[in-house]
Amino acid sequence: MPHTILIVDDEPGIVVPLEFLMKKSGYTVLIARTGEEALQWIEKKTPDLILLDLMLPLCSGFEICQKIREHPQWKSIKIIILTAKSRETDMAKGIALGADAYVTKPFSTHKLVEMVSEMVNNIQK
Amino acid sequence: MKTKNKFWVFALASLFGLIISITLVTYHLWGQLEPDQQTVMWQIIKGYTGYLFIILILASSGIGFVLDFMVNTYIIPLAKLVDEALVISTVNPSHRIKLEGAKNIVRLVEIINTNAERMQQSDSHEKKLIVKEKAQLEEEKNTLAAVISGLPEGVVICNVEGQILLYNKRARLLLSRNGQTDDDHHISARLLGLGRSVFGVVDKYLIIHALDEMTDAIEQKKENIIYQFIIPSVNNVLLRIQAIPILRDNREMYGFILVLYDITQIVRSAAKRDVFLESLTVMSRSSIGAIRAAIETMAAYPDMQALEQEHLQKVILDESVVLSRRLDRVEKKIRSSGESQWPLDNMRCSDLAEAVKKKAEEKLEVSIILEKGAEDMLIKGDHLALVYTICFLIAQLKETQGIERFVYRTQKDDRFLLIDLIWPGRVLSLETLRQWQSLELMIQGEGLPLPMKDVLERHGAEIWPQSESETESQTESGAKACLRLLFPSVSVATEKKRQWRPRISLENRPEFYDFDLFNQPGQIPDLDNLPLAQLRYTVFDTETTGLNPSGGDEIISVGALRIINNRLLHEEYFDQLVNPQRPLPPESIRFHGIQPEMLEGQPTIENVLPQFQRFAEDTVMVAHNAAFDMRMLQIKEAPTGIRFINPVLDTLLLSAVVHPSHTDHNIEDIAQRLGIRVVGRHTALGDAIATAEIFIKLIPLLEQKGIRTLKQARLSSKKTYYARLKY
Repeated sequence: MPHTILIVDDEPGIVVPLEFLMKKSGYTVLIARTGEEALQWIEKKTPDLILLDLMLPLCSGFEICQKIREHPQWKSIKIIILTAKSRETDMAKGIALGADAYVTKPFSTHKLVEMVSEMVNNIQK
Repeated sequence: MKTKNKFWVFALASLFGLIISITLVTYHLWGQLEPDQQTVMWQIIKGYTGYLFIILILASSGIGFVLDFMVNTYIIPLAKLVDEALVISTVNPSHRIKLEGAKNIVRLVEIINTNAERMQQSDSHEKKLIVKEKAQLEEEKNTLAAVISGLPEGVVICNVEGQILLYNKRARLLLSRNGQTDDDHHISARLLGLGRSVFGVVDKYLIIHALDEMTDAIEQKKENIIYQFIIPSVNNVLLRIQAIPILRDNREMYGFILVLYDITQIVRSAAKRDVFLESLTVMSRSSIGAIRAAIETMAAYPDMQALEQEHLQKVILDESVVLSRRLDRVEKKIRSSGESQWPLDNMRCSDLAEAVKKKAEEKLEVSIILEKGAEDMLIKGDHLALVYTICFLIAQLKETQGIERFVYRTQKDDRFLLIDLIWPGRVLSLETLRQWQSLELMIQGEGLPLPMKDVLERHGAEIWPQSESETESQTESGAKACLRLLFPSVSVATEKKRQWRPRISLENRPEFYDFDLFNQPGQIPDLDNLPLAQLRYTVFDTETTGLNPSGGDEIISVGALRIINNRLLHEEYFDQLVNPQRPLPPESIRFHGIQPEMLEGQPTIENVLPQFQRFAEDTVMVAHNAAFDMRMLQIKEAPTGIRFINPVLDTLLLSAVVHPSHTDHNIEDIAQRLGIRVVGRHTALGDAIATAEIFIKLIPLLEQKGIRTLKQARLSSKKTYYARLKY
């Protein structure tokens, strides 16, 4: 069974190429445009990896991060924060709140795909 | 002639005159008598000669007694009264008259004495008032000077001639090379000094121009006159200088104030930002322009050939990469320039912690335990805002979660400074925290009307909740929660640069001011006739490799201070080690304590002497056993081209002039005689200080000997025995 990737971002400009790339890499792709939607997907499908934007309407990516890590059953979900916030303090906060990686936009799609595959391959399915 | 004698001469002359008049009247009367009447008279006179004689004697002695009485009770007491009343009204108001004499005179004496008493009382009252007023004025002057000295801006006050009357610590820091003279590798004569010309530190033409502008403005009756200019100062510092005229009541300018601001950082970061913004917009525009053109072309010609399509795609890819890299770079640079518009200052983490503990425990009735950690570290921020931020968090935690005991911890890693608030209980949700962040920092009506978000933003800080077990292994029972505040850490380089703190302390009366210099007459060509107390002095001492100037011994240290208006200016000193360019005799180290390695990398005498000469410019040079030090300097005349033509005084000789019966005139003995405590002897600066203190005490003693002017001091020195000791 292919790994599931959840893309949480409200900007279609980035969602479109990401979705395309992830599908091409052979993953099942879920899309959420708000924090609410994201949490619903997580409860329903428990994805293997989440590509998480920080600046979301209503609730920030940090909060989603915190909520995921509050649940022991979601401990194995990998979280990659993808954001335009590039301050060091933001990165430290993201990692402190349980993200596995912090990638600032713009990023190399090639490297992102590599990172994703490395992370999901380490998950014992 | 005595009053009494004077009187008797007068009395005898009067008597003589009286006798002559009686004789004349008698003679005239005799001539008018008939001859028979004359005969009868003659017979009567002849018959009673004895009686007549006795009457005459009695009458004249009666007159004599009356006159003597008059003299003793009126004339003499009156004359004394005049003299003594004069004493009271001129030299000795406390004098009282004691006289015996006529009743009226005694009464008069009483009246004069009573009046004198009254006068004296009101006089002493007035004097007390004057002394009090003076003390008050002095205190105000000192307060003003102390406040100016501690101001965060540099302040220099000058008279219209540009002579410096006052400056503060900050000004010295901004205008003197390296700020401190004890910098190891640079010569740093302080050319900013009381009584010196401001042209030594700020370009003459700029000052003159500023004065002209200000004078124009005064003539045009403008108010709030300020003239501003920017100069590059020493140590690559850029200064903004505001010149403000000091006006008399009649709007005549009698001086001006220079206020100095260090704008180096502001200008630098503003310039950087400009460059960043420029490069960002220009480059972004061209890259985006290329991407857009490529995409639009592809969209417009869907049927273009594969090769052409590949070309355009490559353009888009390349430009995107360029744009990404550029953004990264610019952002990094802006971060590293890191200057925010908010006034952030460095403070010790322990100070912040103590302030939070105090405020929270007082206001919120909670208990805060300060955990040992990185409290020695510096944090860059707005002290008050941070105290309120942390107290606000504590207040919210107490209110919503009922927490009353906190542990406050400061930690540091390579990049960040962490402040943690820890309490037993559940981890806070980010959602709650987000709500708190948008609230204003008000605690029971006190605080800052700013949302916490803004304060954190301006500090470049982040905040989040976490479980305490994530950071420390948890051994105690019960979960612990933590709120973590993350600050970018202060780099050591900026730490050093920003060490300076304004200090205002009335106890530390600054020495480097003298308002009396307002009345200085300026440069007087004939120093020789000036009183010693009015001259300016450079008191100096040298340490050498040995005691034989002509035998190749060299100067290894020069220390000097200045005396102006009879005051030793401790803040304006010259203290410089000198590389002697020859080995240091080990036996000499015992005297001066200077180790050979301390002289490595120090400037040579060729570099030091010009600086020292400028320091000593326009002053009389004073040294103990000056002949030796002057010889040392003279030997360097040929190689350095520096010649000291200042008049010279020697405390050793002057001491011998004042105390000729003593044979010991070394610094310790003189100091002991004059009641001076000597500290730090056998360093050039220490000895210069001792010498200067001795010299100041010698001036009044010389005056008692009638030696008041420089000329007299020089001549009397010459005469003393010690003057014959020549090196």
